[in-house]
Amino acid sequence: MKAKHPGVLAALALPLVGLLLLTAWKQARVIIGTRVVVPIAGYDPRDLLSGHYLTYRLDLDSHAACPANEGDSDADANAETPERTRLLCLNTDANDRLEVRALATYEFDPPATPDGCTVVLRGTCHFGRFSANVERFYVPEKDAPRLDGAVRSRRGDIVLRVDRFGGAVVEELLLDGHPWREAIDKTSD
Amino acid sequence: MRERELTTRLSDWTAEGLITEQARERIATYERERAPSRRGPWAIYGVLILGACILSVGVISLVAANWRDIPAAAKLGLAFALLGGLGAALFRAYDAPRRLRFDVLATLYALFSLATLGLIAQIYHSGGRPYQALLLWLVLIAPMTYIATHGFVPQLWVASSIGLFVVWALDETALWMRLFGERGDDLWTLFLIVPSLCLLLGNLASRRPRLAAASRGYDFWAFAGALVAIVATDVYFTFDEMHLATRPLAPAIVIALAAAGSLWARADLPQRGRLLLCALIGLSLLAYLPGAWAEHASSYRHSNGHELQGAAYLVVALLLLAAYFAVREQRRLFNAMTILVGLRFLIVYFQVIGDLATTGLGLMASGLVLIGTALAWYKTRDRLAAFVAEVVK
Repeated sequence: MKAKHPGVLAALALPLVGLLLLTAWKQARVIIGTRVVVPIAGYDPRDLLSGHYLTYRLDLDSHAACPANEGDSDADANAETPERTRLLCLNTDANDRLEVRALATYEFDPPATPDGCTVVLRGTCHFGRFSANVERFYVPEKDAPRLDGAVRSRRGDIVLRVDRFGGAVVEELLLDGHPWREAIDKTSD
Repeated sequence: MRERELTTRLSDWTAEGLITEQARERIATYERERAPSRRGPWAIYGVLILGACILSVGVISLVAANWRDIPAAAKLGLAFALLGGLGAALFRAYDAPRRLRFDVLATLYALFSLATLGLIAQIYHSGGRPYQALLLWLVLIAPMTYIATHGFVPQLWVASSIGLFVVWALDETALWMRLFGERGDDLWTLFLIVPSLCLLLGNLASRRPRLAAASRGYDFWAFAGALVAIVATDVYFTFDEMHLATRPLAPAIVIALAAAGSLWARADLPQRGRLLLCALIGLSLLAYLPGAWAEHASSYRHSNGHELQGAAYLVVALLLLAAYFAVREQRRLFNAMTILVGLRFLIVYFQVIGDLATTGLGLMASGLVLIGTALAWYKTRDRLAAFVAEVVK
């Protein structure tokens, strides 16, 4: 490489280095994050398939996930507060059932996770539904219709990796408790 | 001039005694030698850039197909290997005497970066918004665009940055929509904002010689956006469908005034040109303010159904643009603007005579008006350009 153009080298390397760092950051979140399995459901009657990905919602108890705040009406709390961050304490009990409890901001002091919470999940409430920016799963086009049907019939779970600050990334889609590739292959056999 | 046409003309001139046989030979040789160097690279450039774009679209389609049999690590490894190879080739081509190779490789590198970003989003199931991905991509390729200085990549960056603004403004979760877009009609102001923003950025970019290509790109989109805005404003007046409030108009006013002020940052623009563009910006804002104010001041919906008001605005706006191009001695654009003015007059004619146009006499009259207008314009276009240039002196 020529040493006379350090600025040119930096300018041309930026896309490559930037994308490598982005990949490393995303992979680190998958490796380091705490694993939690959350059931998912579709937005009936909307088609779950949107281009090359499935869109779904986290199938959480909406009253527990998005309760009205003290002093707010239900409409105020649930209708249009996209900028308000919500914190959910997710806890998997001995029977593998997911318990959900909304936390007040003062109850969460990252990176410490409050007692009784497997993870704290950060998100927002839209029209009474909790969203953590993980409601998208990219799928191969040819498998998409079968996955759509499975998620619609509530056989789907999503595996999240949640970091200590409440941010989450999607790791895997489960169908009947199995990774989606295995589940699809089984039904094809 | 094409080679066959040149040969015919040279033969005519020789036959008429205007040039000698030797002069004819010398001119023909000169033009023959000049033609490939003038046109050849541009033709090849266009084809190569088109090929690079098609290749990149193919790669993006391949990524979108999301083949399950290829492991994610293999897909990422291949993508980064390709990107690294292109980056290395691009670095080697930077100093090469021919810029063509650098431009084609830079186009491929920029678009492959976008494809790789899509691949990362796919593998890690990113839930971000499209404008966020577009913003990241533009930031990553911005320094490369800066050092490229000319060619296709700066134009790609400019067009994508305008696309980013529009996608962001239309995204329901974005700040812009929350601040200025409570209703669908409020997004109408984008018609005013986009050309103003392009004009502002083009003027600011013109201050730095390395951003000359980007400045030209923003100038082009400012002009194209202004034409769309002028037609959209005409539609706004003609139909009773659009309703604006003062709040969504506020950013349009601020950006338009900033764009008007930035005209004085531009050294290559004559003073008359600046004033004409300021008049166009002022006229466009004034066209919207009464309707927006009426909407703001009362709860009842203000009706804008004034067809001729829309036509008058369009004609004056296009004449201001035509005068601007006359001042800048851009004859083709001047002619194009005057043709558009003529077309709007014809539409007014059909609006005024209404159903009469479909009768036999109406059709005959319409045909005569069309022919007369076209002939009048053709005969007077040179005098018209000179007259307009003289008037705005």
